[in-house]
This record gives sequence, C-alpha cells and structure tokens, in this order.
Amino acid sequence: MGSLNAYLALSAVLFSIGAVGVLIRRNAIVVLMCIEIMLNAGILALVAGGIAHGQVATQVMVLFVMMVAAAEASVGLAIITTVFRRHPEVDVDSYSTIKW
Amino acid sequence: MSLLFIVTATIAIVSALAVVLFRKPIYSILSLIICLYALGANYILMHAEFLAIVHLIVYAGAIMVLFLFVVMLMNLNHEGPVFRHRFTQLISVIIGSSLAMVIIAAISKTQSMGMPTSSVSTAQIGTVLFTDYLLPFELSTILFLASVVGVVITGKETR
Repeated sequence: MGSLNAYLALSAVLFSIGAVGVLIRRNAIVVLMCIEIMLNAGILALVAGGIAHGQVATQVMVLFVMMVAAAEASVGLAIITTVFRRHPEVDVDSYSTIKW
Repeated sequence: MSLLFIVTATIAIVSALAVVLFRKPIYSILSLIICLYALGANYILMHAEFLAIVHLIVYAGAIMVLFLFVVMLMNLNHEGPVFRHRFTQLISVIIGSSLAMVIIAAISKTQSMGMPTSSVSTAQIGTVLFTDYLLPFELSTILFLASVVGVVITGKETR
C-alpha cells in the first residue's frame, strides 16, 4: 500500500480532472457528475489523512459527507429534470434565462 | 508504493478522464461507476473496509442508479456541441493542470507518513458515531427529510 502522499497526490489529480470537466462540459448531468468526482477526491484526502493519523472520528465524518452528497445529488437531479420539463434543453448556458 | 495502489490509481484516473471525455452521458455514468469502484478498492488498501462498503453502497449503488434513471427516462441526450469553445477548453486545461501541479508540489514538500497496517473495527466506528456524534447523526435525518420533501415538491407536475 502507498504512503499518505501518494493518496493525496491521487486526490489532487482527481480533483483537477473534475474541475476541468465542470469548466469544459455543456451537459448539466455531466457537470453534476464532475462535481461528484471533485467531492470524491476530497473524501479520499480526508480518509487518507484520518487513517494516517489513526483517528476513528474521521470515518464518522466521511459518513456524514456521504449523506450530504446523497441529498445534494437527489436535489440537483430533481432541479435538472424540472427545468428540462419547462424547456427541453440540457445545455447549462440555456439555464441562464431562469433567473428572470 | 505497492503494485495494487498503482493499478487502482491508474484505473481511477483513466475512468475519471473518460467521464469528462465521453460524448454520451450514459457512457460517462458507466465510467464514473468504474472510478468509484477503483476508489473503493483504494479504501480497502488503506484498511478502511467499512468505508469502502458504505462508499460502494451509497455511491455506486444509490447515487449512480439515480443518475442512470434520470438519463434513461428523460432522454437527456442533446444534439448541440458537447464541449465548450476551443479557447475555453485550452484555458480550462491550463487551469486544471496548474492546479494539480501546485497541489502536488505542495504535497511533495511535506514529510510523508506511512499508513497503518491494522484496521479500525466497525464496532469502534459505531461507538464513536452513537456517542460523540449522536446529535449530528440525528440532524442528518432532518436533512434527508428536507431533501425528500424538496425533491417531491420540485418534481411535482405543475400546470
């Protein structure tokens, strides 16, 4: 198994891939999935740090982060489907009109 | 660094790149499931077996199925361009790679720690969860109730 720095480097690479995906993709669902990748990179760094320091409480915190992620994904998908029903387009730029 | 870590990390990075680069959202979802499985394998390598199982059940089992249902039932494929403008792509890749390089450079300056070889038992995690973190645990049920009500109200057909 790798050392702590290897896991942190993997987490940094995954976070950057997710950030690039959020910036270059147009499909709202794929943007939400890239946000999930970034969140998972953060969780990986948290787990690696907590285990390297021998903290049990970290695993409980990661459990809470996963709960919040589940709630966030369900609400985000509900918003996307509702907007899609109003005007059938998944391009995130076309959602700029919903502020009026 | 062990061979298993290199294999799982490579699978995770390649499938995360595939999520960004596949043109159809359904392929992106399937490669994101592979990425989550590789991360679960990483948790097992770190001796966090409980978290690995919870990660697979919650992410690959629940959230990804939700994504799959939405894409398959709503037919969210769209015809227009998949990626943004060339110039935006170039800028984004520069931003992303410099972000990764800065973080990795900062990490390489620090002193690395070895990972422990024994795992924390699930009973210990449960003890901490139901003693020190009981109030946040109860509050998370309120969060879930709020999100369920929000999803139902948002998704309701309004004429």
